[in-house]
Amino acid sequence: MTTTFHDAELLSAYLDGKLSPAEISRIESRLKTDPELRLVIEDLRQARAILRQLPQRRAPRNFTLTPKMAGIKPPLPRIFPIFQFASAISAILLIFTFAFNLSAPIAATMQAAAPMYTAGKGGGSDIGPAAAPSDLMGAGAAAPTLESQRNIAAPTAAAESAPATTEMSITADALPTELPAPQPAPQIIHLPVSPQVQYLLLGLAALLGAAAFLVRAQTERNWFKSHAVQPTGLDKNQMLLLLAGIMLALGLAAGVYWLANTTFYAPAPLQPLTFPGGDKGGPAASGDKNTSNAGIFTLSPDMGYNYSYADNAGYIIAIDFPAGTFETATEVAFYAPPPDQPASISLPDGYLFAGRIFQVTPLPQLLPVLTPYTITIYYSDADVASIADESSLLLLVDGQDAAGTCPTVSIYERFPEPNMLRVNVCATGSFTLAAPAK
Amino acid sequence: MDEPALIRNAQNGDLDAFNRLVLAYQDIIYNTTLRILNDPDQAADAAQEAFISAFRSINSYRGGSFKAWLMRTATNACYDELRRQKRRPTVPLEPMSDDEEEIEAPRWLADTSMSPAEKAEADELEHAIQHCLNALPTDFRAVVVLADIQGLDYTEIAAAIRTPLGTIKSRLARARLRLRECLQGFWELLPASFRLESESPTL
Repeated sequence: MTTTFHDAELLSAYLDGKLSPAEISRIESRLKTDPELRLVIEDLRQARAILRQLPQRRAPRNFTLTPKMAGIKPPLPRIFPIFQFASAISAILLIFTFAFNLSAPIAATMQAAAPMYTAGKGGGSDIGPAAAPSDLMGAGAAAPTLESQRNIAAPTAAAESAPATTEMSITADALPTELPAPQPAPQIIHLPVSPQVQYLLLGLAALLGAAAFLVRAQTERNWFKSHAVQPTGLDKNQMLLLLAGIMLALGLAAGVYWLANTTFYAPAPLQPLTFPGGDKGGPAASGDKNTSNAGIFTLSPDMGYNYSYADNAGYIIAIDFPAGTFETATEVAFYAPPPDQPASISLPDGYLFAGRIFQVTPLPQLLPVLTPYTITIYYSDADVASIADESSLLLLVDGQDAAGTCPTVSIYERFPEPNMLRVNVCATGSFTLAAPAK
Repeated sequence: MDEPALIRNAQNGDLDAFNRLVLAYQDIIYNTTLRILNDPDQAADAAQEAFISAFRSINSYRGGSFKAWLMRTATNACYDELRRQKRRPTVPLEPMSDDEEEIEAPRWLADTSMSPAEKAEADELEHAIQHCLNALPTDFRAVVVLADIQGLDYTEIAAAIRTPLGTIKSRLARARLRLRECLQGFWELLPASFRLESESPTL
């Protein structure tokens, strides 16, 4: 009789006493007659016995668990999650308001980057838009100018019907009445959330966070003491987290401070303009030549600007404002009355008027010129047919030489060949080119 | 030691009670992991892991043999350790065929392939037994360690390694026979009463 693996299984179980009585009697009777089976059971018995000989080793160390290994944390007082939650809420609110505040100037700038702008259709045909922008302007210092503008709105419209017959008299105090309605000045962007609120949030977040931290540290210390466990202190990750939290708080504080102490200007969206007696309305763009005889542009104190006007006869007026011409951001109006309008200008003896009159006026109020700006005039031969343009001057309407308006008298750059004159000036108002008769 | 009370307390989160159980069972658990893993350091790590996971899952203990329940976490820790080794294999200790089943006959160990020097290293009975244990596939080794070294009942083993009772019986028989065959190579180490007059059985 051959021994099968099933027999070995039965014998193995027999040794362990895991057979039923019937199986036991059957296997025992087979063992009596089968020497091969007896060899197998002997092998199994020996293997079993040898394994039981294996000495028991002592554990090399105690495997008792520390609270940390067991994942047990000291029970934290009920105030801890409240502190933690309140601190987190404050921090989230702070970050949210900071982002909100930061987005305000960005959004305003982007909005202004694509201005809605329509060219005025004929002078004064629509009074509404001309009057409307003045309503947008602030009160206070601008008020007198605004008043005068409102007052002239109707007469200007009336004058439109017969512009050629209107006597035009340019005097310094009459200036604003001849200017188109100004566009709103660049507006200071007010942050939606006040810095005080943000400081309060920052303080709350920091205080509550610190409170939560201290409460936990104290609780853990007591708990470790009562459980006779060595406190583990802060591990590396906790240190990094704490450091990151402090850095974030400092960064936010710096950000809030910066936002609170920076004035943001929103470049005012350009309004549709109509100019009294003007031919075409439109805003001036830096560096562009304007064919409109009136324009308004915005000067910011930290940026230069150049504006030029060219009429059909080839008369070009280019004005270069360096940065810092005026102390604050302001609008500047340029207006060159049509050449056929008579003008009364007091000229020095022997001088004759040449070319056109033009006005350069800051709005809404007259501001002193802090840094000289440059006026360049290109005139045509016809303009100076009967005068000696190598001695030409740029005069203010009261006859004052524009070159003498700066603390240091400016030097004229005269180029009679290309019919050009350039001079630095420090005054605003109405200018005209004049030269002695030939 | 009032074991049921300690277990109850441990189940209520009493770490001190659990640690008293650890002290009572740590030798048994360490010996189990040592015989399965055959590396004192790995065995200690596995034993520690076993106790950690035992504490975390102590509420899944629902009576019966606490020792058998602990053995289950211990064998699980060993299997985890062996899986880790497989992911980062070092020098293979056992000849494995492609399907991870140990090459059938361990004769190569016992008779031919061991050099005299290697044999001299395994000159103690314990080393010989451990050597032959290592020659067994993990599942067979776990069964034989739990049954013949730790004295667990078949049903306890079946619960500990989540294997049907029939498989336990079959693995145990095969493991014992293979061990006997392997130990034949260490004839001179065996106590006289174990020495065989005949060759190992042919099955």
